[in-house]
Amino acid sequence: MSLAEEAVAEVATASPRHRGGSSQKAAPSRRARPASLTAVIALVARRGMLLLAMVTVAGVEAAVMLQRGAQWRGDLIWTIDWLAVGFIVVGPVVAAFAAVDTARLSLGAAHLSRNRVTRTPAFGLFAVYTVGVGAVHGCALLVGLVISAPPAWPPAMAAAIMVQLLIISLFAALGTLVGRFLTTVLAGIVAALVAFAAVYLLSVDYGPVAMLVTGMATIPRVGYDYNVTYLLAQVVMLVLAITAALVLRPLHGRSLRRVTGADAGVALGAVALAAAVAWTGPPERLSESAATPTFCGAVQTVPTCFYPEHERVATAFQEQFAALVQASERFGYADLLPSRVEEASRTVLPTGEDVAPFFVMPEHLQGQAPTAWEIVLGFVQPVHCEQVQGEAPPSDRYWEDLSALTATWAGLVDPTAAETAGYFGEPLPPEAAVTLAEQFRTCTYPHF
Amino acid sequence: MHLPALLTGTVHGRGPLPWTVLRATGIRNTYPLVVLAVAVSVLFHDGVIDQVGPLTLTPALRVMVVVPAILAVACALGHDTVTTPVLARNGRVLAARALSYGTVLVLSAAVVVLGAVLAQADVLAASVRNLLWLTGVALATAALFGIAYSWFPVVLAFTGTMLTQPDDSDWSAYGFLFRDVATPAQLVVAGVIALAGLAVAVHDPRSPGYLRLAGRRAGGAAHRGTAPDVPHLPVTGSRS
Repeated sequence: MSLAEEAVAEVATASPRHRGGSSQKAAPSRRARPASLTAVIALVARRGMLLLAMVTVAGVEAAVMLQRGAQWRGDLIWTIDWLAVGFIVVGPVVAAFAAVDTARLSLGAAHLSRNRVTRTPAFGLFAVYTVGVGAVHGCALLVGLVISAPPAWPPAMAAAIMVQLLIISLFAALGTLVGRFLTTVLAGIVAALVAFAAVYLLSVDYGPVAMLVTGMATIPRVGYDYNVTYLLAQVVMLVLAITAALVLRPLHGRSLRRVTGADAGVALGAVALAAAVAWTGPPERLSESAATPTFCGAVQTVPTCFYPEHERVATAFQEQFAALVQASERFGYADLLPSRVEEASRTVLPTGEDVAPFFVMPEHLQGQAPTAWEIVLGFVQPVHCEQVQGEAPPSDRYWEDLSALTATWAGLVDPTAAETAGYFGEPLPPEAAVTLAEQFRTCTYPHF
Repeated sequence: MHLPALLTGTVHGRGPLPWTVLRATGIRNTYPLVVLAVAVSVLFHDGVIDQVGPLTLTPALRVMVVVPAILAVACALGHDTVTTPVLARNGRVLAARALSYGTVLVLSAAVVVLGAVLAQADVLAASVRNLLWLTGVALATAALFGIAYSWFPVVLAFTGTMLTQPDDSDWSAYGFLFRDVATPAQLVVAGVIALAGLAVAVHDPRSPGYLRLAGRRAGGAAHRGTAPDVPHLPVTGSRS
């Protein structure tokens, strides 16, 4: 039995609706039974490129997880979103392997292409790649989540994971679509280009629901929750897109002109429906969270609160806080000290009398210790004031005063901080520093 | 038609012998990719890619640095080693392969030059660097694993490099693939890779010199992934 015949026998079954003539009727009864998914997976693993695709995906996702000091640890949404960065590689590779295998393993099975969609060789390949590569991605997610050990497990994460698995499924479907219409030689590169174009065009969050958007790579997600409505819209769109990709099949041969009007109509309808869902869905994938920093401790009697997702970097910050408090008291700048210090998130900026915010940046989550300058700048910079939020930039005087205040305070801990940050002026006396800090805090600074 | 042309030099088709050989050995596989590369070069010669999915590319990637990747795969598809099985290993067969790959490579270089001429920024050296080394890798992959898989290292290199951080090294993935300027040393290394890949592809070590029709045995054409379209050709020659 040739490879193609074996594939046909195992991947698809004889159907009274096929147009292949009498050969199937004469086939042994073993061929007439639907092949189990396990058998088809085994076939493609043995005869196709499934294993190489799975190994490639596993390698890419492991490399992605280890990048940038695994800064996503602790942050559930970031953990899930981070892994999907690898889709830039996974998409073209999975689509291309699925395309080559479809073109190759379904040769000689043209008479089965008019079977019910789920009884075509291409659907078998689609299912195999979806399950195989999806399993690898699922395992990678599981490992990531175990390492991450986030403080909470919101149910919305299931929808986000479902979106990612469906995206992998779409890559497989696009691959089999290309493989149905092109020769083995061209199928791989064309499918890779199609998948890359899909990632490039459909993962930009420009207003309507972006079908393939999986978040941004480098931004912590503390302060956000998943918008379940957006994710469910993505799920619907992906299912429709996969349906469109699977239903298009040549009557026989590989020509696009061999697609029936009914199939083309179903595919176009599915795409139109997906577009309608995109334009009626919510605009934002993440919604603002009301969470507050609840992991609190005291540094030199000053309460300091972190988001529990960032507990692992709290010690490094607390050491800097302690040094800052000690130095401020020793050099007569104690009046600058806030009564309470709270971490700012992407959406919540702690403001109020005697509350000072600080920012945990991605580089801190990579293992870099915060500097006194960074912490003091978070304390004094009046980012909450309307005057600095407009389109017009603040005055030069503002930047000079902000640098002077930051350099004065950070310089108490680290005398080189000012020079490193490019400030070469004299430190402010305590009274002037306190006055300036108060003006910034209350947005009454006269030289914005 | 092509077997007599390859083995005896007898031309039964129309046109000069080189064109007959090129047509017979699958150069039309390259048409879609070359046309795509020309279209992208003409339409987007000054374009940049600054975001792909969740990643922001800083600095942005110039489109004319990406186009050679498409052309590299086109080069690897320039000689369909499966649908033109050889009955004998001789100088004419090697010359036919060299003709196929050389033709597409020259064509690709012309496309790269066209894009560089149209582009306002000076991207010629970087485009040539990428064309050379990606072509070398794609040709070697095609010869060793089958032309259906020649895309694999090219796609993996390009998309994988997007996941890396830019740096100052000339020999990192970023420096050797994405940077829009190329050093002479890079061009020399890329040229060596291209020559090595071309040598492997022209020599075609996986070609045993007899028909590689679809079959279940390892080493058969089906195992390499591109065979079943092979017409059943009469075996008239022997291994030389």
